[in-house]
Amino acid sequence: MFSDGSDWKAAPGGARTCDACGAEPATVHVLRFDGEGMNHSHLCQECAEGEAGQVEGAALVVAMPAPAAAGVVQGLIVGRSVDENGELFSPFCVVCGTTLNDFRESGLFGCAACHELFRGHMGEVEESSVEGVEYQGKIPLRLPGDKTEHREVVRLQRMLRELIDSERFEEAAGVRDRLTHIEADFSKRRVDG
Amino acid sequence: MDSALILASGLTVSRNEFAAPFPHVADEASLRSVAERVESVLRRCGDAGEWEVQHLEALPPVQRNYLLERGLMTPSFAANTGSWRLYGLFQGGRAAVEVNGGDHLRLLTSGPGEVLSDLWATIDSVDDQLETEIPYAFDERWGYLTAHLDDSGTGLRAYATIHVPGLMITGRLGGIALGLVRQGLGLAPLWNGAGGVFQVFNKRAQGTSERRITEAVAAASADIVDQERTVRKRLFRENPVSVRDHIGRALGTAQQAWSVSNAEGLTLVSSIQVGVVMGLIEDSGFGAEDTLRMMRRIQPAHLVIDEVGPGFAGLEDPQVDEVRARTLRRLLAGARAEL
Repeated sequence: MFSDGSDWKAAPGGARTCDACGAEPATVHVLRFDGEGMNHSHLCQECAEGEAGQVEGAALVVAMPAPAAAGVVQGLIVGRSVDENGELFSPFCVVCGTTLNDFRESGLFGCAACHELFRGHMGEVEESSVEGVEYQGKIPLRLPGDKTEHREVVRLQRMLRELIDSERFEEAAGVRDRLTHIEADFSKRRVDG
Repeated sequence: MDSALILASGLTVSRNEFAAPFPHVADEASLRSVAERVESVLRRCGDAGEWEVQHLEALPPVQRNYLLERGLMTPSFAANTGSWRLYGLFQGGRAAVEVNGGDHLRLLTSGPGEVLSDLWATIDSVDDQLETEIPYAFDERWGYLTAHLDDSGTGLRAYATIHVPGLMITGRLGGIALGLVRQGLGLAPLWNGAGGVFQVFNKRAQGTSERRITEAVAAASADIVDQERTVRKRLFRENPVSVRDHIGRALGTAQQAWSVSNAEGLTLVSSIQVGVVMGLIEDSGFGAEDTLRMMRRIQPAHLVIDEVGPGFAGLEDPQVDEVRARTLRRLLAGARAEL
């Protein structure tokens, strides 16, 4: 018995500014029940409080924080680089193929490696609004593979991102192949074991 | 009264395998590979038969809705139509796992009353079992890595289901919801708000610990139901005839109607249970703690499975409303409003 979280996630491509004043960033997802159905809107805190104050009788306003992803992903520095032929391209994850633009539109990471790649493009936006403090939750008893293998994957993912950022694509392809090899080796061990 | 007004608690935990693309970008071979690995792990995990694993495609809509109504499946997963989606039930319903939904794994559990810390102990233990076999996508800086940024970190969503019709009809939930927003929490209606049933939950899984998340949701829901209790007392003090009339009419309708929609049924049960809690209804056969049990019994899939049995036309069949009315008449046959 869970309310459907998917209904409550504003599309990252949706409103960035308050639907009411059009000036302040929308930070609250507001729903109004008028007896006939539900109306959604995205408001700044001040306008949301004004709306809540106008509710009468059984009419209802329910609110929740606008998804972090909406603000953060829209704040992405949409990195564009130039390839060897002088063509513009969007940075992409070589593990799953998700591009920075895909991520910006959907708000979804395509794989673990995407986190390493795309969080780097969030820069100060993410650090101020999402991270704030270091991770404080549960830590797996056993990290992927063994810890050495996990660290190697993380190291390679970082290296891959740096190589792509600096447009050293041949070397990036080599790192991608090593990551693919580790994945294939891991999958084989899972099947065998 | 907290235990009566906090109807249920629930937790979901999102996890991914570190080496595979997440389900929304994965091709069929990758989905199949993850599904087969997870199924193999579940089948040898713990005691024999502890996990009952099925392909989601093999679960008919009535079964999916039944699990959804019991808090053992999420709505987005129940609506999934893709292949290589698995569903595992742990110890007959103590917990469950959805495979290849929004993330590779979503563990979930729920229970009656305010039991978030107990539920965390359960889901943490299941999570520990699975992680010994499934290498999770985890980063020491960001925690568990998920498809949605909001879920990354602990991967934990905690829900408290509360019964607050008094706050709803007095228009106070808007202000309460905005107060929750400032704490990083949200308030969402269950069943579109029918019966005044809402859920308090954490909106972010990052920058905090599992214990702080469950404590924040528990504290916020306890505070809200405390306000509900105050509002009910005030409403009865200021309008005793109106309150008795509302509750008496609800009981009369429930005892006499021959067709009741789901929303109407929830509203009737809600009003009747307010009467039970306030001592305005006698001999109902139900206590203050039974609100959720009654509401669940009149949900469509529960009616079809518990009252009618296999072979029924489906959840949309108009006969469901007749069965709901019949069930309410039977359940409330002995109840009477205090005179």
